[in-house]
Amino acid sequence: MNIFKLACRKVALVKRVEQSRSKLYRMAVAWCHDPMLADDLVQEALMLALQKIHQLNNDAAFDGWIYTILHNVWLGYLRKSRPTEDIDKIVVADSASPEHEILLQQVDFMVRSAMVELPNAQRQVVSLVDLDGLSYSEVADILQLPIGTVMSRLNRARKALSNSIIKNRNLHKDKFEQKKLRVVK
Amino acid sequence: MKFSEDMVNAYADGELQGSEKVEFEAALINDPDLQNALDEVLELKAVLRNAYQNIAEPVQRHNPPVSYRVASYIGLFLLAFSSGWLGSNFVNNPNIASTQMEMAVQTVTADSAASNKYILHIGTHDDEKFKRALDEAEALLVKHRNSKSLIELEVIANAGGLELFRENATPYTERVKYLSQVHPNIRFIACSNAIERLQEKGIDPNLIHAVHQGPTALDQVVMRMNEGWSYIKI
Repeated sequence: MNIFKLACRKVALVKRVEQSRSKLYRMAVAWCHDPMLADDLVQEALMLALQKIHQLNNDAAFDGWIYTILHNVWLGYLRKSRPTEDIDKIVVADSASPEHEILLQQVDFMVRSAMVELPNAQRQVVSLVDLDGLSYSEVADILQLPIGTVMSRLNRARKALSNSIIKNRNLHKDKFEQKKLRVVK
Repeated sequence: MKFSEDMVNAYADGELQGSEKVEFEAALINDPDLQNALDEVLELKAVLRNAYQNIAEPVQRHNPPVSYRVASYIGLFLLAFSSGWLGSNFVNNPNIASTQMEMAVQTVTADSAASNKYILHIGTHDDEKFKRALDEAEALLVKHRNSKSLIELEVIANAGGLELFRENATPYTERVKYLSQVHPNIRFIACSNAIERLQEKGIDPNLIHAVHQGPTALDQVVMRMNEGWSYIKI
């Protein structure tokens, strides 16, 4: 009967790994802001999760375990692609095209652009806490940081996000008002 | 405002407990600055969540047709039934929920029937690993041929691993062709994602004739693991 239970658990875990795809994808997009790269990172993370599924002893720790794998894959990618930069300080490159300017007027794009400007270390913390509602201790385990560091990075990230969003809002508000004035003339 | 920004964050994130939480909530009533600070954090949390909530999920391309999955489950079911396993142990047991039954059918039959089924996965461009993957595949095939047991084997490549399956991209093109000719129970599968990545860069994948285009590597591995196959990462 134990073998039967183990087999059932394995099937359930494989299914759970498969079902994690969407939320891991959202997290990967929040970290790298490149849908194609995010898809590759998630695929690699899920493959590793399937390979290491026997190492998960506590089913309740599944979320932390699978995010840890994604985090390691992401760090691996950063180390390989930008070997000379400090990973914690990496900012995702952003484009300032005319379309980008228009998109900035939409709140979602404004928020994502503000995220892009954050250093990697802060971006990861704020996305784990706010996108998936993970606790500080879970985030500390995933990123291998003391809780105090998680809290300070979270605070810096939120301040920077607020400032960036306010700045963008004011900028586009001014542009909008200038346009209105021209129309009146 | 007598509470730090870290405390405001912690309250907004549900991290404050016990007396700290009570004290914070008591202060909220009479402290407009604290209320504003909390509102700002809560608003930011909400806009951040919304900004990523509607991101389109990755498309699971080229999923195997439903009929393929159904056929595999029917096969497993028949096998379970013919071996007497289903009838003897489970059909008359009212305590087992139907979902558990379904899982049991998939798992136990798959584990017994698929113990000689392997999926080898290669995901990096590394000639050493390519050689190891082919050595491993050949060793499994020979081992089972000598013991006269049935074996099914799939070698799936994605990302940099796809190079193994591209005509003349590695020293192993002839070996891949040879293995597929000599062993009808080996299948070489190329990940559809990896193929599309190459095509998007304007590169013709030029796959070896013996290689099949599959679904994404992930979908294929998950499907095989659900069927009880053993997964080997090279």
